Amino acid sequence: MSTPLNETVVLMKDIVKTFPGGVVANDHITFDLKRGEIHGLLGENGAGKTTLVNILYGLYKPDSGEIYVKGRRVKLNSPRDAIKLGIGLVPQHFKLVEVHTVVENIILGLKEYGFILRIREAEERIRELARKYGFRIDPKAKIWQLSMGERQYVEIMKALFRNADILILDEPTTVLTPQETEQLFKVLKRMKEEGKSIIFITHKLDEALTICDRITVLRKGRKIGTVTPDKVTKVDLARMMVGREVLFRISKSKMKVKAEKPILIVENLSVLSDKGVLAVKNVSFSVYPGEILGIAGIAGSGQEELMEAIAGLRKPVKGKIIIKGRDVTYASPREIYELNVAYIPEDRIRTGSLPNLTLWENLILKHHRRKPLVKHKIILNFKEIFKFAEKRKREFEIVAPNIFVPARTLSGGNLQRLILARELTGKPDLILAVYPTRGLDVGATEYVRKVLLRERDRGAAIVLVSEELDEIFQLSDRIAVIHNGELMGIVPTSQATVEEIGLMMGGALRR
Amino acid sequence: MLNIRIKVERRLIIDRRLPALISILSAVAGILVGGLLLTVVGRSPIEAYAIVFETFTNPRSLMGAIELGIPIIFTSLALVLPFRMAFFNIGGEGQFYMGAIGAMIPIVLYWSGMDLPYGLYLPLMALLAALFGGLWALVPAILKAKWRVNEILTSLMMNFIALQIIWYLVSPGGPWNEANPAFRERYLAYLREQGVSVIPGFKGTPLVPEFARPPVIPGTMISSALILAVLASIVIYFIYSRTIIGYEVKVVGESEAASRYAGINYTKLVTMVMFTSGVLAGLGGFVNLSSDLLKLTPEIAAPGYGYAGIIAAWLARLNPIACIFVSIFFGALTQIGYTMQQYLRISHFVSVAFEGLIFLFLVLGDFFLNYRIKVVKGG
Repeated sequence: MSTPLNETVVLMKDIVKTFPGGVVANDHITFDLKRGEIHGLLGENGAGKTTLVNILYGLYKPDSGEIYVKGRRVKLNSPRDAIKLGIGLVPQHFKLVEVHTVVENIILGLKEYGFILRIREAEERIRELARKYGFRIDPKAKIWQLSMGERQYVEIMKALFRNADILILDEPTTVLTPQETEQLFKVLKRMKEEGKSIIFITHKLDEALTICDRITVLRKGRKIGTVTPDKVTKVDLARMMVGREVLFRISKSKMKVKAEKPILIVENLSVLSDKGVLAVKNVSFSVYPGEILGIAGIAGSGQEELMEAIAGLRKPVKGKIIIKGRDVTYASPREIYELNVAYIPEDRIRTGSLPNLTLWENLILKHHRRKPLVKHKIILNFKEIFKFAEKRKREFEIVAPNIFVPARTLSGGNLQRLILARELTGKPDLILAVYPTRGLDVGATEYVRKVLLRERDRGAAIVLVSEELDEIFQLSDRIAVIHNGELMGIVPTSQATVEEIGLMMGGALRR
Repeated sequence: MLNIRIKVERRLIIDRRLPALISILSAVAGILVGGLLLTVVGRSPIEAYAIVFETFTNPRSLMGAIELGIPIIFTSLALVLPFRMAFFNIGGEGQFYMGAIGAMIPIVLYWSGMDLPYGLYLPLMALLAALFGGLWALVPAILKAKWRVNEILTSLMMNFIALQIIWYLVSPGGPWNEANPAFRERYLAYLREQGVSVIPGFKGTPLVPEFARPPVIPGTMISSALILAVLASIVIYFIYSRTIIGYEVKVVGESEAASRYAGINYTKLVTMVMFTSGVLAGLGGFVNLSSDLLKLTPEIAAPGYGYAGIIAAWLARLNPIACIFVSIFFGALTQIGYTMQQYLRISHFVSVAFEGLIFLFLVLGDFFLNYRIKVVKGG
């Protein structure tokens, strides 16, 4: 290492970026990155984090401001310029060719590996990189065979392969299991020791405090400050990020007396995954009105398939599903939601919403066949539709100029509000919520949790799938733990401990 | 020193009037460049421009253009709903042929000696054309809905099958060939009235008699089929923007996952949409047969109306009302081609190249819809 540690490798000075329509995404932001440092960029959705790093990666041009990389003033016209300077970006949504191997993806677009691919040579270098940083990955594996965590390693290696020593990671943990996150942090620490500099974008406070050397907080396009983790608490960071106090504990009223009849009964249910293997194995449980049953488990343990089966999107191979006394094991999604069942899907963008359609078109989905939204059986009644949409927008405080803008213009939190607004219309008796706060910022998470509790107190039965134990403990009345498709047991929250649930999640304990 | 750079920028906000403006400007640019093409073959571009100008301003030529565009209105309109739901029906051509076959049935029966009240022929022909086209279009729809078979391949293959059916029916010796003895008595009498004394027996059916041809709109030279075309586009516009079907089409086109989640029955929807699509293409076949071709022959395939419909629907940005204007523009181009061949004595190929250039410009124009070019001072 010829240059000393603590040398500033990136300095972005007074960066201003305004988007057409007058949104100031970056308002005089100054940001610096030192050699061998992990610098966290913390902020809510829409705070300007991604805009700032996109400027550094040459994807956007700033309206004004200066950028210095390794002491030299630079002009970045495209990512190619950034790559030449040793800057690598690991995008939030991976850009890998699924049917190609790891090596093929990594050398894609590299001239020196040529027209006749020098695969063997590339493989050797990849193995070497993997050893150095502690990635466990087979260069010959096809991308579709890899887990999300492994795919992220491929993206990181792609950058390292191009000799990046400044790495930008955009919300890298959103798609990872807790174990994968831990692994990633080990790799990042190793890279830091090797003298790499890392910009770590996140909105998760715990993560920022665990992994970062310094944290810069952005809010609404402005820089609020740069702090070191030893000087601040989670509460301080949240306040900087949101601009007001945030409740980390939501008060939950005691459950009312248990009703006699459950709303949902699942009996010996087995369900296949997309790949045709058993994802849910012989699972049984019931959910009563006015309670939240939390389903804890590592992502991919079968909870998604279980919920899809209940919602009618996936046909079970064995067992029974009974909602409000009716056997709906093989019912269609429409028959199920007509029993007044709400489903908040895992995938908000493709399944839960229609990004290019307007808010009103999104809000009437599932209700679009009902009177008074429809007259004469098939004709849309716009007067009623707009009234309906306006009311939902107001009730759930969806921030948007009007109901005629496309849903893709909404932030993550607002999009989830839109889905809640639609799903909770008509006071559902059963609510199936799959990772309802995943990827949301603090403010939006708080909102979603409050709404779920409000629905519970109203008397709805709720099944909540979450990978965050915090959330499970805070909201659930009972906790069901799933491991590798099997139900390890159901424990009342009042009698459960984090250790015990953790052991059950890992498959080491049954109750 | 002059320091100017040209910068290409993505448009973030697209004005609603922009698509029409860009299309018109692109067409004008295409015509100007196309004129230069004529200088290569030793003709004056000015004369070519004069013909273009004449076609769009002279009422007679304009009516000719409208007449030529009518079948394309049907075939482009047929694609609005399927394309909006991301069902890529490129079988318009085959549905068009099947429509013509259906429409021919009452005529064949007539020449075989069976009589119906005259007023019944046109409605019956239209009905059979719609039914034949609609049923033909259901095949790729059902294959896709039930077994996820790629609709692009199936709908395309169905075109060839439909054309072979026509070949079988009308070739010498075929059941519908004009020389079939069953038609002889009545058809020969009809031909003699026209001054022809024998049935030649070419590949093709007997002619569509006058009473089974749609009347011309009074005071014009345009077939009343135009009225049917305009009505059809209003109906499609209404279905798309005002009904549950249109809404569900939009949802499926946007995200299949979301449509499943919302309980939309894909099989039912695609069946309805494709039947409607086939009905429209089939009606196009009926109109073409009864007001232009006048007999069913394999030449029905020559203009490629079904394929032209794909380009027209796309240029109309799947807007049913815009389909009318784009199709008429197509008709005008064909008209210009004919006139140029006649007056400038250029070959068919040069006139087709001229039309092709204009399309090329229209496609290129799309770039300017999404991007704009800015000249900036300084580096």
